Amino acid sequence: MKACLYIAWKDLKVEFRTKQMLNSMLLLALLIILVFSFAFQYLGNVKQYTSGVLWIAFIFASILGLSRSFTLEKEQSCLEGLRLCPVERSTIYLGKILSNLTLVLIMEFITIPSMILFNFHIPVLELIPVILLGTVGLVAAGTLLSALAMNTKLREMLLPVILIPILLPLLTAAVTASTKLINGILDVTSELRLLITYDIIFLIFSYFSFEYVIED
Amino acid sequence: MQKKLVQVLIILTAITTLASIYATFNAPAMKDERGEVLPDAFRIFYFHVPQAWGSYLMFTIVFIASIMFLKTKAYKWDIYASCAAEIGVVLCTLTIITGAIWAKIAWGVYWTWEARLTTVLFLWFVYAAYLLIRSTAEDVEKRARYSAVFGIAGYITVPLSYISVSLWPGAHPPITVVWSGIEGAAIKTTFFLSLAAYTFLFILLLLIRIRVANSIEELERKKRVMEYG
Repeated sequence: MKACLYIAWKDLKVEFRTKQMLNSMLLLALLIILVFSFAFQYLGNVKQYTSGVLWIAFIFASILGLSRSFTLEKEQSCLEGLRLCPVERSTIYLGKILSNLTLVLIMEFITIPSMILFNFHIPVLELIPVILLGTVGLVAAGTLLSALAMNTKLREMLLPVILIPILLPLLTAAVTASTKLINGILDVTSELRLLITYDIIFLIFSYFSFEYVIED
Repeated sequence: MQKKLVQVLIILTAITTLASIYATFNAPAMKDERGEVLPDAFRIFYFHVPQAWGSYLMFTIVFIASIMFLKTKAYKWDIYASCAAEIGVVLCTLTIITGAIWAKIAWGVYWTWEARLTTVLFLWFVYAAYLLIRSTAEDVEKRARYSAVFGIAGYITVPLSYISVSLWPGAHPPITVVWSGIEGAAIKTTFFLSLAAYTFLFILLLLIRIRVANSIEELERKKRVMEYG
């Protein structure tokens, strides 16, 4: 357990020295909001598309960050070093999940206020459970597939194409729940239940299958 | 053994598909829940449902073969999984196309965001990604390992997809219209005959595809032997 905290700490330390990844994730999220605001300006009711814009921004900005998470290790064979650590492969996965989760949550934490600033109506408190559960599932599946994509010929280019299909059930549940909450419907138990199921299934599955993805 | 099986299957498939095509165009017309006779286009049902079932069957084979590969590391499982995935994607595409043709006549639109349709589309994307992973992998061993992991992950999203899209708000044309139409012995017989016929056909396709994959494998091996001695 301690080992996975060290791995996460190492990742975050590397990131916060430059903040390259975080900055580009944030800028992408903001750009997406900007572009969609232009695209949808004639739709009239902002509430109708807020959750769509929110999740598109989250998903694409997260994919940008996740794809980097393992290519960084590939440089100068850092992954070899990680693999040499006297810890289980799954510990590396947990460490990676923790660092990725932190980065994605920071990105979301800054994106939401900016959306409110740009005149989107977002009931932050009600949305918190949906966003948290959605983010956990996104990072759990994303970390596994990012490790997988890193070893293909296309490298991180492959990640969005293979990750989004796997995320579709999570996305539909998260977007539906957010749309309901934004429009004042507070009953989202079935969506939350689905998000929790997805998170648990993917955390367990990735935990056990990670060794197959990372071994050389 | 396998050769014998293929021969038997070829004969079975030939007889049953011919019989089912004959029955398809001679079965009495289906009725919807209000008792109205459906337009003749409903006969695509006898192709469409077996295709959908076939794609589910193939994806289940991918799932089982992927687990077996990770467990045993025997490459035959990888070959089974990849062949089943290819056929599954083709069948899934056909399901979507035949479904769209039918939907145009039954509902007036080619596509509607209804739970079952959307889930099939999700499936299509998952297994298209599966084939993409296979085509971009660096070597045979990695290709087998990664696609196995993805094959399992993709399959466990299927039930989740179904639940997730049924949460979708909005009015959708009821798909039950069709199911209540399977009444009467002739329609039932035709339906199960087609189901059996196309299942034989898909399994036959799978076996032949596996044989081709094995031959390709052998050819590659011989090539390597000739090049490097």
